[in-house]
Amino acid sequence: MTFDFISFFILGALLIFVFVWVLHQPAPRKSVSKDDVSLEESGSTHITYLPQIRQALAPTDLAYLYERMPGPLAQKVQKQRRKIALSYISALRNDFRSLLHLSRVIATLSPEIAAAHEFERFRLSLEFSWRYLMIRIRLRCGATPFAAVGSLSDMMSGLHVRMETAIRELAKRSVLASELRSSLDGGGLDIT
Amino acid sequence: MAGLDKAVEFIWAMSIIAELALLTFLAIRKNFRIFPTFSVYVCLDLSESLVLFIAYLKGYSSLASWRTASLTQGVLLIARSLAIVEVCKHVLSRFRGIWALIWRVLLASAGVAILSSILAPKHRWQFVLPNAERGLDVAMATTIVLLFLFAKYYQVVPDAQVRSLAVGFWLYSCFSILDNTLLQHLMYHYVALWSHLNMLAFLVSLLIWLDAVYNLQTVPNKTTVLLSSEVYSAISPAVNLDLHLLNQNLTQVWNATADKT
Repeated sequence: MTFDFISFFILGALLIFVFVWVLHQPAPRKSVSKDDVSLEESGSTHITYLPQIRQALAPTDLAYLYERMPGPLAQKVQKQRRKIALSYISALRNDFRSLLHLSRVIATLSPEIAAAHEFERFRLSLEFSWRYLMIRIRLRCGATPFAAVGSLSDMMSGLHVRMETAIRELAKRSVLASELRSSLDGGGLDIT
Repeated sequence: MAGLDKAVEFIWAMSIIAELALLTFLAIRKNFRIFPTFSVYVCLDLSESLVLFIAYLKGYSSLASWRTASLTQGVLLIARSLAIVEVCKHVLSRFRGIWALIWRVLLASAGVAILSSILAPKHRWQFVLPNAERGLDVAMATTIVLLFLFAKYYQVVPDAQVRSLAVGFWLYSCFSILDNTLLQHLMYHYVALWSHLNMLAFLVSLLIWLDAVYNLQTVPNKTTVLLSSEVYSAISPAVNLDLHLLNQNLTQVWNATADKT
């Protein structure tokens, strides 16, 4: 067995694995279209629960509990709040994904895109996924970064406000484009 | 024909029948207008069968037959590459923005694949052609896999028939990579089996294409209403900045967890 034989064997196996993975992943419901740019899809935001979550995760709140409650009970509460933190960052990831989805739809439907922006977004999403995974592991190991999770929520909130403004703008354009499309009866045109 | 065993003759005959059926469907349903390069590729392959048939009448192992086979294989490889480009265009070209990015990435990765496949193995003159062929096959298989990865990333769902055409090309290319690699290592014991398996893989690909073309109705000219370019240029940098800040924020969470643990 020589090096090139093994390398081509690995390459072939990799190609097969990736191809089968791509073809067998649950495909999106339909191909991307302007209808994807809808307010409903991106409207399900967990930022809505931010005030409650922040209060529940506030270090002062926890300190207060330790003052008033017996130790084991306070620990139990802390444990439960850690669970809340876990499910909250998991929900934030879903928000992140839906925003990422929206940005991809916009890229797909744009007549011109910047390669640098696309590669940057791809890199950032990989970075996010990696850090998210690491934080989950640490939270499970017992860390309680409640304040940091709260500021993460602030960040997502700002992102949402900007994106919702963009979505409204897109929705308006979508309606205009649909009217234009129906008036042209879809005659093989790209309406930009 | 002298030198060809019955199994090879049988697979060859089946392939010709499948190609004729494929061309008939392409012609009757006027799908050659949708896939002109693919149609030309199938035509060329059928013509190659005819040319080789005449060449093999003089003897399967003669030098003239070998030269004819090599030349026609070269032409077919180029035609196959162009047919794959056509499939790629069908999947993504209506999304002008991402297509402009993707075709460059595909072209670059194909170039790298060809060069590495030709340059990586030790040079032995008798393997120059298989190496070049393998390089192109690696490039084609990689291009198809990347195409589907891009389509998945941008959530573009290709038509089932176009997908089947791509699967047929991918299958044949992958099999050729494996075949050419094994040929170099088991040369003396493998030549006969090599031609059997290669032809069989092509027949399977033909059947996949036949099924795709049979089910391919006259595809209406798809319209894709694009956004104005200002939308992207306004939103994309903002999203990237937000994602960057979000990652910074995650780093803070990471550091906080590190402090607490």
